Amino acid sequence: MPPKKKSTAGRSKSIGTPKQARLTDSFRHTKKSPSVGSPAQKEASSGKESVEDITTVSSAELPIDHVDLLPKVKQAEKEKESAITEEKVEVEEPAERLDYNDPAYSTFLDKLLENEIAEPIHQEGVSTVIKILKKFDSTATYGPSYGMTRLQRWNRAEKLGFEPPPEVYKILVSQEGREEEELREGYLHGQI
Amino acid sequence: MSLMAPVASSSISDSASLLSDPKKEDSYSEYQRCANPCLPIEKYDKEFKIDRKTVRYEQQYANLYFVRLSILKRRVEKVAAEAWDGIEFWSQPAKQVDRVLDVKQGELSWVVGTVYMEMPQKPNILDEITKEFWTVVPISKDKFADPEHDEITLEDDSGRLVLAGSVIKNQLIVTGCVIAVLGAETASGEFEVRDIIFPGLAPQIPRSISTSTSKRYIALISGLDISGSIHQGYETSLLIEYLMGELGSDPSFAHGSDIVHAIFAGNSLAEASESDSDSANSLLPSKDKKYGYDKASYDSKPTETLDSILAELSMSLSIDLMPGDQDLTNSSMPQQPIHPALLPKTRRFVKSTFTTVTNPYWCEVDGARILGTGGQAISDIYKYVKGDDRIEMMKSTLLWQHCAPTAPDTLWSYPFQDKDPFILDECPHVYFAGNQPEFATTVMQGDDGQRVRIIALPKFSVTKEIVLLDIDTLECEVVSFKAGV
Repeated sequence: MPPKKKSTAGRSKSIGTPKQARLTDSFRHTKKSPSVGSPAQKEASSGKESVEDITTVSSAELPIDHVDLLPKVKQAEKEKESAITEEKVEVEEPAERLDYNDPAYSTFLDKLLENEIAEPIHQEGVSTVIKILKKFDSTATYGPSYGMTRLQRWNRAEKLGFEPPPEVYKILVSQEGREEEELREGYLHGQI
Repeated sequence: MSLMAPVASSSISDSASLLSDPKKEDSYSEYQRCANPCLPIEKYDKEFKIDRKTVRYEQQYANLYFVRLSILKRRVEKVAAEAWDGIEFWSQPAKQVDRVLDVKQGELSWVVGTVYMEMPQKPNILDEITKEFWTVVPISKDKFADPEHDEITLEDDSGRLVLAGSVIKNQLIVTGCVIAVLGAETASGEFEVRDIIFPGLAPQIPRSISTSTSKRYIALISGLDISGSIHQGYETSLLIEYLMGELGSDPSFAHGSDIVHAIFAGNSLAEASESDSDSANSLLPSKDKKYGYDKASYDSKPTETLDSILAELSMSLSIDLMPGDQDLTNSSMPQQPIHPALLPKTRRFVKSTFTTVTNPYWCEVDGARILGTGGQAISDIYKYVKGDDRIEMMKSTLLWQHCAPTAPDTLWSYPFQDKDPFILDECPHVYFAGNQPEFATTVMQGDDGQRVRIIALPKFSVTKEIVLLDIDTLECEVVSFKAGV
């Protein structure tokens, strides 16, 4: 899966390079920025790991004639660390947990199925939440569903004035809705 | 700026003073340029600039068409409802149909959708693949239009509906514009069109009458086509000297000093070509690959020449440089500003007199809102329709409320997912398109009192003409640098 690949690449880089403690290498460490696209929490943890590696390298192994550089490098790292911790704090604001058995969802699903011509088939093991999200994906009014996360599509539908259902928003904004790929991405994700 | 050369008319009569040092008593009129009042509009600047950190090319273009239809459908519906509600044709009242495929045979109805023109002569990727084994080389034609074989369809998220009838065949229409059509479905399944409605001119922000007493002009230059070769005409040098105030005599200095801003509307660089055999670079052996590029085929003269020209101009005139299809920036619309690193001497003037801007470009001067494009959209529309009336095409883009309807079909475009920045939410006061074959201008009036000055800018390298736009009256004049008129 693409997001996972990116974060492991980031981690291996930070573990691999501290062997050589040369001036050019410490510059390379400070310039590295967290990869875009991986989930925010994984991003924050890998970034913090690399920063910790840098501080151990610069204090222990750098030769004496690089003393002048040391304060600047340390300051840059501190700024980066504070920036990363700030990010982490934002993400950890309590996202609500998804209640899969909320009766509001089943009533909403019944309302959606009222307009259907035929009964849904082969859907015995599928939870209500996933049924709602799949219905949301296949609604043509909100546009093409491939290539964007469901939340992005919901936001686009809202911006264009189509009044997408708030129940779907509640599901997508919850913690499971953000973390789990099955809920976050459209039903075609990874298949095309 | 003060005059350098002592060519004031007062001293010509005194023959003793010719070829001598300027006398202290002689006074020469000094002309000052007032500060540049023309600024880019932030809101549109952000819309057109693509953030390189979040750019992705994996999206599909269906999103762009969806956003376009969603936004423009509402606008057309309003106009169409006003026009057609209660209308009766063939003793039937006209009804709106929501989806394009819901039209019923024999019933008078009206529907909104995006136009798609099925043209056999349009470059088609499928044809290229199937004809892989054939040796027939297709003749590149100027236009795709083929009135006998072209099919005009109306598209929606439900499907496509073929439109028929002389009304639609004679209308200036291209793929990608959103229209409402009134008519009925015939027995053959085609929709016979009786009437067409466009979104019409967008609302215009009223402009307060300016109170300045002096005349101020914006110079609109397009198609400079600098190649740096020694065979390049001297008209470009004439143009620069004119703008710097080094050309002519007192009256033209006064006129030149009234120009407060210059917009280079695309194609400042000539089309890339192999360097000439008489250039110095051919002395190097062609196998000499220094710095990774083959010097015999790469020539840095065009950008160097453009750089020196712009650096010289920026010292006394504020410039906006828009990219065109031949310039060194991305080729898909909206084109991003040319990076100042390509123009090292002019780079010093960034943030003071020199700005690189996007294509299309919105700017505002004294309440007058100006929309400018490099002309690619209009040149693309030319391929779809018969005739060559560029002003008609520009008027149509304003009526369609979309400045580049053929994007992304035949005009390359970035795959936007949640917006269509080419949709015109407001009507500009001035609308210009660069790189057109000849100069043309008109004033277009709208139903709600909108007035737009439409200008088709001629290519400087061909016509040797630039356009001066008067900021207060929004009138144009052409300055020609042709020799031997």
